[in-house]
Amino acid sequence: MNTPIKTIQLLLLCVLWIFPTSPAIAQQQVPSRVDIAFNRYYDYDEITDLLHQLVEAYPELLSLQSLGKSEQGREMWMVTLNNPETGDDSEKPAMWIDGNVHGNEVQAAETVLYTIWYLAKSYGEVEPLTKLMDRCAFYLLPMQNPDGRDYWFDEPNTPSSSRSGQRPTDNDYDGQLDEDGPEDLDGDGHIGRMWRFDPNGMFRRNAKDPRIIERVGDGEKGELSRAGSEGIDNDGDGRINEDGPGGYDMNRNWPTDWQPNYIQFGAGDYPFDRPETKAIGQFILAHPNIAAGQSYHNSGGMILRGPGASYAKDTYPRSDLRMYDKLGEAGEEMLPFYRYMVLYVDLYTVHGGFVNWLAEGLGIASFTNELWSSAKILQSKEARLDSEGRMRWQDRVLFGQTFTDFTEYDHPTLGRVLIGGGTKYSSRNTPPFMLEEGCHRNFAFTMFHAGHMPQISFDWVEVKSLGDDLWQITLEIGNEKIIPSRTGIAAANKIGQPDRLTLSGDGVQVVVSGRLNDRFDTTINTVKDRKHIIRHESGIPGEGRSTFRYLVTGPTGASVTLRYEAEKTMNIETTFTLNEENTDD
Amino acid sequence: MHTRFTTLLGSLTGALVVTTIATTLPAQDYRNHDGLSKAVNDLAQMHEACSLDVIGSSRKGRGLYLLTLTGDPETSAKRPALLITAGLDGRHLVGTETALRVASNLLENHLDLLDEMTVYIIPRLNPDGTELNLGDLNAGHIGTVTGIDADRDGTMNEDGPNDLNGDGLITMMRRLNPSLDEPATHLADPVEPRLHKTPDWTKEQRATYTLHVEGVDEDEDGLIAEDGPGSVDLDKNFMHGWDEYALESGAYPLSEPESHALATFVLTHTNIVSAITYGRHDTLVNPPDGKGKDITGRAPKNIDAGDVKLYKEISKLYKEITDQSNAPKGNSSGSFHAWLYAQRGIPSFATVVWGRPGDAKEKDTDDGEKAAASGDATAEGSWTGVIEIPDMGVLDFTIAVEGGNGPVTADFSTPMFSIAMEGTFDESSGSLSLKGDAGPEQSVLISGTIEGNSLSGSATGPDGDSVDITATREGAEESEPSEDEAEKADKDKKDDKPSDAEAAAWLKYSDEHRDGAGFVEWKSFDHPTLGAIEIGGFVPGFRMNPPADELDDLAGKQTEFAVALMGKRPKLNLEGPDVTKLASGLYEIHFAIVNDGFLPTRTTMARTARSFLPTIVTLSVPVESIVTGDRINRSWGITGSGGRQSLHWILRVEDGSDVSIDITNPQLGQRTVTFEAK
Repeated sequence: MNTPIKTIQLLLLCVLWIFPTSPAIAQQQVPSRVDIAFNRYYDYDEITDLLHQLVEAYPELLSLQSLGKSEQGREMWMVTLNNPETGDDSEKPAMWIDGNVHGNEVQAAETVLYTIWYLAKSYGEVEPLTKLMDRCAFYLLPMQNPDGRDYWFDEPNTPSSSRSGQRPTDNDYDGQLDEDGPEDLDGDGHIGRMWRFDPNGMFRRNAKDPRIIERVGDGEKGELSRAGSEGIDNDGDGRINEDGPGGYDMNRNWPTDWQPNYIQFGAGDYPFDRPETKAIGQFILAHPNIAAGQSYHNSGGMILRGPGASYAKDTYPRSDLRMYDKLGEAGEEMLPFYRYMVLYVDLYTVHGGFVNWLAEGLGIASFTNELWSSAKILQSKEARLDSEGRMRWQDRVLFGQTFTDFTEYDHPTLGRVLIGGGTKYSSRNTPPFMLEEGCHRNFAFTMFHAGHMPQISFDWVEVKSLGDDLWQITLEIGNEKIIPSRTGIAAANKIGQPDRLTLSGDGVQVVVSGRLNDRFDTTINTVKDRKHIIRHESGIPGEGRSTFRYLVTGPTGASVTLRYEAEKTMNIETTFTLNEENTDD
Repeated sequence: MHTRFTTLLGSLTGALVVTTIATTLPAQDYRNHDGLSKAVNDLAQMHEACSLDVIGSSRKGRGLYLLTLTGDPETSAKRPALLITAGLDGRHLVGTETALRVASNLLENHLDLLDEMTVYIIPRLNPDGTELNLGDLNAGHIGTVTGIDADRDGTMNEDGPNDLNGDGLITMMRRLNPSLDEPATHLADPVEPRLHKTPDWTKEQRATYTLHVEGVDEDEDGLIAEDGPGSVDLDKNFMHGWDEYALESGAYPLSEPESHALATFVLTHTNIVSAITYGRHDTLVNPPDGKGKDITGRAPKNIDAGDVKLYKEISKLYKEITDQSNAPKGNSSGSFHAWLYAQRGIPSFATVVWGRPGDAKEKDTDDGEKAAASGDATAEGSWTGVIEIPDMGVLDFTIAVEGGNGPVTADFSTPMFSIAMEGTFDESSGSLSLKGDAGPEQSVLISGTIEGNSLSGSATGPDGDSVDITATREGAEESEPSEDEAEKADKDKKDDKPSDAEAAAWLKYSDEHRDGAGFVEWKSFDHPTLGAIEIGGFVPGFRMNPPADELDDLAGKQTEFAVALMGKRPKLNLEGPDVTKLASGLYEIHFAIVNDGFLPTRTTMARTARSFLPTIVTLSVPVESIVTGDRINRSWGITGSGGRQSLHWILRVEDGSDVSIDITNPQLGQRTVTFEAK
């Protein structure tokens, strides 16, 4: 039943290779078998449906699995993108791409969805992406936190609420779980701010635009005082909204530098104590072929790498810093108004973060992109956006849809209050009309990142006769990509298996073997035992090569096979015979 | 009798007997899993106050037994509880035997106590690993049987140790004058030639031996017995100080079904108020100190300075009861007992149960008592030392402290900077803590303990990096001129001492009291690849497990300690309310929760970690009627011996109306006190 599609696919492939590659200004329009609009958001059910449609439409490339169930029992849908014609996904370098671990950071899921959609439709149509998909596999999880996503869409929220998962949690230490969350008192579908009338207040409404509430100057008299976010004191403890739904942070629940709640808010009782993180963790641990990682968040326009804490600053060896810089700086160019940053230096300290586990715990070259930057509003790095400017943007460009005017409300314990302000769509999420661009640029950067997963080849093999059936084989294995076959962190901390070069051949005996500094090096760093295997802890460097030498005995014409195995790149093999003319450049 | 266990019992086939296997075991009558199953089942059958359950299963499907000892099964989960855990380390057989005997002793002689407190006993957390040591071969297996690729060659467990001499034990191999490609690393210790040491060139010592674990190089990688069965060490698989990059620590904390089950049990039993762990760690003979912070600068390296007294008092109690004077000082990073304390805040005590017999270290205890007895510790003076600051290098520093017991001020100065600091000094514990600012939001912390004229502790910089510091009080050297000489004499004497004094002492004990049963004498052996070698060394587990005839006595002492510890538990009582009418409809209320027990309701660590619900005191009146005070009050901890949490309210309520105070505490359960406003 698969055959017709495969045939078409092969035909497409053939067509592609003879396609004239003339430079074009506009991107070629590539049709998709599933139409998806990327100027809008989708809730959990809609994304679930779209993933099923995509997988049904592209069965030759995509497969769908649930990694497990969320706290509230939602399936955690993950798409594997792999071309089985070029090998099993586990044999290829793979990139992990996810989003939306924070339930409110919704456009992260659309960005992953876009990635699946764009890649699938591009196979056989867009040459660089086709090549990438033939060489690499992708594990794509649009919604790390399906409960938080659903809650954010379905219930009144602020731009920042519903970050947590939905396991009921006692945040105020009163023995009750989630008993005092916010309420949408003004009925606008959002959680706004409340202000009390106070003749001694430190705030007042702006004279020109009363929707803006501003701090009064020194010595001036205000009219309003802060009264927190919209809601009532449900549990009668005198505090409002102090224990809402959930109340933890699944991006602090990963093993690397995990710290308890009193040091790292939201960490949970132990790493992987949430079903969502546990399911993802088990999958990733079972896939050592994952060589690159991207975890989308919002907001602020950042391309973030670890470490998350100052004391881990020496974890990253110089070779890894160069790798990250090359990738991150390319990202800054591809993503206007995004900055390449280091978590603990430029953002804040994070213990037990996902990107830290990937990079520092597992040796995977990983970034976290913070999607959407308010610099995109004025499309300028220099121009300052003040409250008035922000109001003009929301009035003139968004037609007032992201603001609820302040109205008076008779609050049960606070008396007369003003309620209103920005809606949940007002700050962190990309305005829908700009969503597609954000998806595409981040997708493009992530494909650049994926494209630089290690790709190794036998660049040079030299066979020299030393007489009396003794041969010297010298070879270079090169990696044209930025990411090494083993990151510096992996090598330094002995994460996973070291790479291995194995020589085999009937009647061929390895006498001496080892690594050279380069092809001119005359001294071998010898292997003592099991000489046919050279273990290579540091791997093949990014945009570099490693040089090896074997001295073997064997008859002229004997066949020799060299095989290089590495967890994070395709294994390679070459076979030649013991003859001097078999030197290859 | 509780019958929850009958189905589990049904799955066990054949006779459940105590196995008495190879004479090579450190002692007979240590139970394997079948023996343990029978023992726990017998206890549950024989005693009304004992029920048997499992907290989970090992990777091989063996039950992780839990004995619950209580006077009332209905309410056992709501009473304060003591948790006794044993058998995390596959070699530590004595722990399991002790736990079983303690259970039996408590059930037979201390039933009254079980009406007050629940006792949870988990006698063996690592049945799979233990079983490996109780079969035909005792290899001294420590961890679980989770495969790990110890030599990272893509194959698991392909090169374990081999019992070459067929004595049922895995010991060591030594090779005299090895070949040139494998240079010697050790020499026979001149004082005790059965043991080995690395050479000291100043004494013209030369290495003559290489040492290996007994085995062959099965996978021909040049390494002998480097990738044996298992194992993840359960006592390194917990969160506090977990070593991420060590294979035996597990792929992630609680990666093992056994450790996960135990942690889950602890997290779901918030009534646990103290814990004793029988295993390879000790906090009772040598109580941990309150010095230093971990890498985050937030968590204590060992224990919080505020809990030092608690650990010292309980240690004193333990030593009085058990007379145990020797215990190993090991690294407890990632251990169960360290997690219980550092992240859950539970007073958590660890003991090896059986310390090396003989030569009690009188000196140590003397010193401790002298320091405590003097009682005139002061922080005042000028303390000097050197400190290594990243990016600045090694600097001389001075801390000039002013003030007595209580608040102190200090100047912390180095050639590079000077910081004014404030803090406190606690005379009785000798603990000093100082805080100052190196710049805006750039705080520097110094904490340490003063004993006599020496200060040791740590300094934490603005970026959270923490370094150990030691300092001496200026003018102190003159007062004790003899110290250098004494030290020198001591050093000279040490030359006659074996390099590993502890191992030599064990060997002496084995020779003199156990007919040499603890050590396999070195004997020649023809090794397939190494040639002429000798095989010998300590019997695995010998230094942990006593002769079986000492088990009852040891368990008796441990029972006595457990009973004494339970006697020290916090006991909460309520005082009041006292109601005073201030005016019509206006009442003042005084109320207190008092801890009449000895131990605090919560350790300082628990209060910092907020790992438990506080005691919650709730008034029935609405917030609007409260003139002074809160409707919901949280008490994070109350010290023992009459420590109290006082509560004070002024209420506007109708005359004659009823007001109630709800008190909820995981240890107390729920209580309600009602009074009339009049």
